Amino acid sequence: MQKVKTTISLVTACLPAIVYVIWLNAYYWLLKGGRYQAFIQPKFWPLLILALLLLLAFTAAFISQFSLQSRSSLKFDAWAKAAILMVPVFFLLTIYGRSLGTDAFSKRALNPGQITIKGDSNQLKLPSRTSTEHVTSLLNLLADAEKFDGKRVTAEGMVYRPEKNGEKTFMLFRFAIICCAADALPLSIEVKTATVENLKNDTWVRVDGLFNNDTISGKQVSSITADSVRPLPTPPPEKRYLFFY
Amino acid sequence: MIFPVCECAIVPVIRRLLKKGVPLSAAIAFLLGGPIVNPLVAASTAVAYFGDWSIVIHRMVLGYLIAVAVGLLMNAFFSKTKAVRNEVFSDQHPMDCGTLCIDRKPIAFGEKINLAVNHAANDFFDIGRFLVIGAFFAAVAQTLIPRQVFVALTDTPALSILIMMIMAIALNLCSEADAFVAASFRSTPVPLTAQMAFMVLGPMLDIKLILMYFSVFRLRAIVTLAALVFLMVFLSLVLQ
Repeated sequence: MQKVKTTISLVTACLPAIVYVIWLNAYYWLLKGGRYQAFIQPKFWPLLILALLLLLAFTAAFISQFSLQSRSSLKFDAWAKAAILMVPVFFLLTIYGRSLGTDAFSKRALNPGQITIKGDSNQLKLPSRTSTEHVTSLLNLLADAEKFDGKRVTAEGMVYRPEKNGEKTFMLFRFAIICCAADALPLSIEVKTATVENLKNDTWVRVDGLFNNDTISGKQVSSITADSVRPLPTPPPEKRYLFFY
Repeated sequence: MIFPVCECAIVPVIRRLLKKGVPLSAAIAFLLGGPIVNPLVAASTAVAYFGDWSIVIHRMVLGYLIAVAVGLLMNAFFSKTKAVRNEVFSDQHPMDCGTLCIDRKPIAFGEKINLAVNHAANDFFDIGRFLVIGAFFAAVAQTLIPRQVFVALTDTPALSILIMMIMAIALNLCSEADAFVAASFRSTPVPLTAQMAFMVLGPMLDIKLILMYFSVFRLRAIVTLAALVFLMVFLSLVLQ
């Protein structure tokens, strides 16, 4: 019994170090293969490195200062603190692979279905992380809508069908991140199709067609009259968001 | 101004500053003003509003003035010991020496670094939980509250300001990114004063911050601080 008590006391005293090491591993996991891009702005990688180094320093400092005196000073509340600090790590592992979809889009979009970006791409510097040479990102399409007006474009994104829309229209949308997924802004363009497309919400598609930019009641309203709408495999989590800057 | 830090990171700093003897008014002014009046927030606001520096200056000046005013008022209402929790002044950890001294003898630079890292490590373990709990509430608010609800209630300027202030509290956004969310309301009937209210109040008061304030202040002080901040932001913008 005394041995069990001693072990629990020792583990309790080591809880901060255990938390630092687990967080350290979480940061390493995020950095490995660029997984962090599924959650935050890619340019923030130096901050993750810094956090990793800080956690290393925390662990080293804890070990260097560890003593029997410190063991007796840490009581049961340390377990509660450690348990709460473990929640983000658990969340990170379970949430990876999922991303914002139609539910978030319908909650975050301010206008019925569409967010407009004012300005031009020279100011915004907004290359799409998932653009290939011939695919134009929604961010660039909306920022440079006047430039693309009347031109043929190819765009990729997810499908959202508001109930009030007809069967031959849907919203092509993606999220653009400034800092992290918490502040992700929905971007969308209305897509008009000649035939009824049986596409479910959240399906990734590539749309080829004619880009139209109209100004209705002072608001920019963009749409694509589609020639073709092809389903795409869901991109890896790191490539689902667009990024400002 | 030269210490770019967001509102979550500034709470542990304030905790240490209060322990080291910084007056309550100065600590609260720094706590409220620091996350707004810094170069990173100025830059992000400028980018979000396409280089409109009048908005940046408006945000910085308003943030500074409200922070100083609330700091002075809190100092008038509370003594430091009545506002701040006892734990902030007590030595919780044996290796934790608030004045960087051992038996009143000067210590080597390496040991100072070691103590500084220890302070940071202890703060991470002690205060991190408030951030996690706050993030949980923020996630719930982001998931459940449609933003159109706020836009639909913006018929009058005063109501718009009030609604945007409530949204700032509910969304718990970082001060370095909130300008982009505020700027996204330009295509809606939400007036600029209401967008400003969102950007000024958010870094000073939201759910996760209130939880984090519990690691520093007593309940009465938090209630007074929250009421003063809310009232001053509302009045300063509604009277413009």
